[in-house]
Amino acid sequence: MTTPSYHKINYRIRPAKSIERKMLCDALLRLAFFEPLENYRYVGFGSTTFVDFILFHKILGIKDMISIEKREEDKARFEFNNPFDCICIKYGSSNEVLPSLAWNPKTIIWLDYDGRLTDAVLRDIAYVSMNLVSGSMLVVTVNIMSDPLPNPRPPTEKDVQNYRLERFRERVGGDKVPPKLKGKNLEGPEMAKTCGEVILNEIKQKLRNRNGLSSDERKVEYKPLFNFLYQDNAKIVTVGGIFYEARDKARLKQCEFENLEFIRSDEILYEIDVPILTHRECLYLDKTLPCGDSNDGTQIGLAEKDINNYSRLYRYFTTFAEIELS
Amino acid sequence: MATDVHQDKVISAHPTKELFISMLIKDITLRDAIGDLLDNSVDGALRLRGDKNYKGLWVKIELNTEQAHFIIADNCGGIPVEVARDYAFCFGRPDGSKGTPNSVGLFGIGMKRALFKLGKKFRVESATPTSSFTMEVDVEQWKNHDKEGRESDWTFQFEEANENKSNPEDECGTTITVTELHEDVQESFGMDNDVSELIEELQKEHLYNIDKGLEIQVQGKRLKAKQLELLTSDFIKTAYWESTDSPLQVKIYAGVSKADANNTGWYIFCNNRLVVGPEKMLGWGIKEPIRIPVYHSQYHRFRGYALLEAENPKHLPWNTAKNGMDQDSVAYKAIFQQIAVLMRSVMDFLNYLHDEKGDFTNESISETPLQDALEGAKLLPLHQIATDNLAEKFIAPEPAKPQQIMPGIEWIRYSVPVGHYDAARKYFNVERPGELGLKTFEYFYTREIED
Repeated sequence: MTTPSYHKINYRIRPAKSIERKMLCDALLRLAFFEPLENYRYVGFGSTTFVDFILFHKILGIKDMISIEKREEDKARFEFNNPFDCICIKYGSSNEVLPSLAWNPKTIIWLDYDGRLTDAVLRDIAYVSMNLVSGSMLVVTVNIMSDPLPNPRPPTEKDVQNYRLERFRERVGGDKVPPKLKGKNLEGPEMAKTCGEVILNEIKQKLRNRNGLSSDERKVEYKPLFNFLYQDNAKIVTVGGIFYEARDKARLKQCEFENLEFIRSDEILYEIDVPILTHRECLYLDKTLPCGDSNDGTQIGLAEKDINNYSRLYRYFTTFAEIELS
Repeated sequence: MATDVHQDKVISAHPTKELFISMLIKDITLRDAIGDLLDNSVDGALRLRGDKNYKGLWVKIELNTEQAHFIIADNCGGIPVEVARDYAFCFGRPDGSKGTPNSVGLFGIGMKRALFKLGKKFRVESATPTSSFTMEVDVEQWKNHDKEGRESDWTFQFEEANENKSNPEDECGTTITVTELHEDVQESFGMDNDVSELIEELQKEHLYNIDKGLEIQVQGKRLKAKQLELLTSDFIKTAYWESTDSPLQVKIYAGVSKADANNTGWYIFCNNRLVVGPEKMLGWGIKEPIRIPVYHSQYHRFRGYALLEAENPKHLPWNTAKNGMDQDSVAYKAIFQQIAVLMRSVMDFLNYLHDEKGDFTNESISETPLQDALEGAKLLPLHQIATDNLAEKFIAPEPAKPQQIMPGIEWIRYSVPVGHYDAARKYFNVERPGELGLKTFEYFYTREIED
């Protein structure tokens, strides 16, 4: 049995993840063109920290919240750490819990897995794709580390590639492997693209099936919006987008998601590269933003790359500090 | 010169009669063939009465091995001469043919294929209020020596055809007689079991029409309508989904009924005609879009009904033999997704029910809310189930939680090999695992602790 991530790391000190969460929140605010946010439901994996739940409850005002938790044996801890009365914790695997939920409310669902892309992950994606109503948002996060190679390492590079391909096939199922996939597509950032492609293929297929009986204006479409790549501890990709009926196209347009700098509707990744800056440096750069001049930063000895990254991320940046509580 | 070049480029694509007479018949069973002929009679009834009361209408099927003939006769309105001349006997439905709304005849292949499947000669007699005709076909002769001596002549001949007549309504109908039956057909008609299977199948396929009063007889035996029923109450709610958004209207019900291995499974109806079912393969064992366990005896109570209706039958996603679905049709894919979703919630319930039985037997629960709810539910035909008792997912009471912690009491659960269990059970002369557990513990406790 694997150790759950909440035993290993405190989600709060994952800076890239924290930025991603706030970016998502910024995008979610625009869903108001479909429905006031407080009427939405949020479904996520709150773990013991419920960081996403806290943010979305406080900023978006969502009250109908469901956290899926696999480990019922730690129920007492989860219930103790549940920060609000409006969060209902459902115990069981997401494969079990998702089909037991009602799907008529507009939903924001963040399937924030600790592990890699698997057939079980795709089953969740398939299920929600079949059920999300117009104006709903699906976000999926998976670990994109390549499968570890056996010891001894396969003798040739070709063997390595074949090994990777075989492991991936086992993991997601042969029928989910894109026909043109090569072993090299399962390494580094390429793996992020591959995972994104497999997930998108699954959504598209399930929507094709779902729309078989729908009139043109009721057909449900999916518009990808997120394609984040980052690394706190593990390498992570987050993809996601909005489900909408053709008749709601005007609402989607009003949301103007594309005006947010981090929105990605194609396979190009948005890399969250967090510069390591002191609080004082951040405050200094803030004074020059949003239309900053990088010269200002270089004058105090910062690298241009860090300054540029900071100016992309500063609205979502969190400075972590150590405090002693007594 | 130019013409010659052009002719060189012509590629022949003529059909052969052989294809229809000997090949396409391999795709259907004898029962399907007879079912197809019955469909024609039922479509006649539909033309005559609309989708209402069929009282007084009948179809009689006779399988005669002694005289080696097959007869299907009905009083369902007959085939007008014009329809026979221009459409009914065409291979494939010609453009401009007028279909009956909500009928099951569509492809323009069923009747001819069925006749070829049965025997070498057939005779059709039909009368409508204003016309009548008879025709007789010797299939071999038609194949080889038609009137012009050319194989490409795709016509039949009326023996007699009268239009502008006035026939009394009770004499309107169609009688089809097939003689010189094929050997396997003759043999099958002689097997009681085959005939019983045919009766069972037709009974299921046309249960809606029988229910509406259509009298169907096979060998003089009148078919009875089975009802599509589900157990329902305020506590047991049927999973239900419908789509009325496209020319194909769909209603899907998934729920429970009496435990019955023969009738468990899915039933798919197209325009009131059973096409698939009871099907124990559909849905069970799938991994996506949702995982469903493989079929097992604990699911004997499961029933699923998908009712598909289309005014124009071309929208129905079935195959030409009407014994399966068109798997690639997007409409069927949409239906199958819902079938999976709906049945999953019933499977969950049946699993809990199974666990409840076990937990009660080994005394880890003292109440059986699920079994109680089933016993309090009523078996009702689908159309009588109250809208309030239909839900997005199957709904049942919460299962009883095995009582683990009671003040001053500790539970022990363990498993042992069956052989050891049986031997110990005999030793203590007890029936249930709970009793044996107590006995073995007492045995140890009195000897090793108490003293």
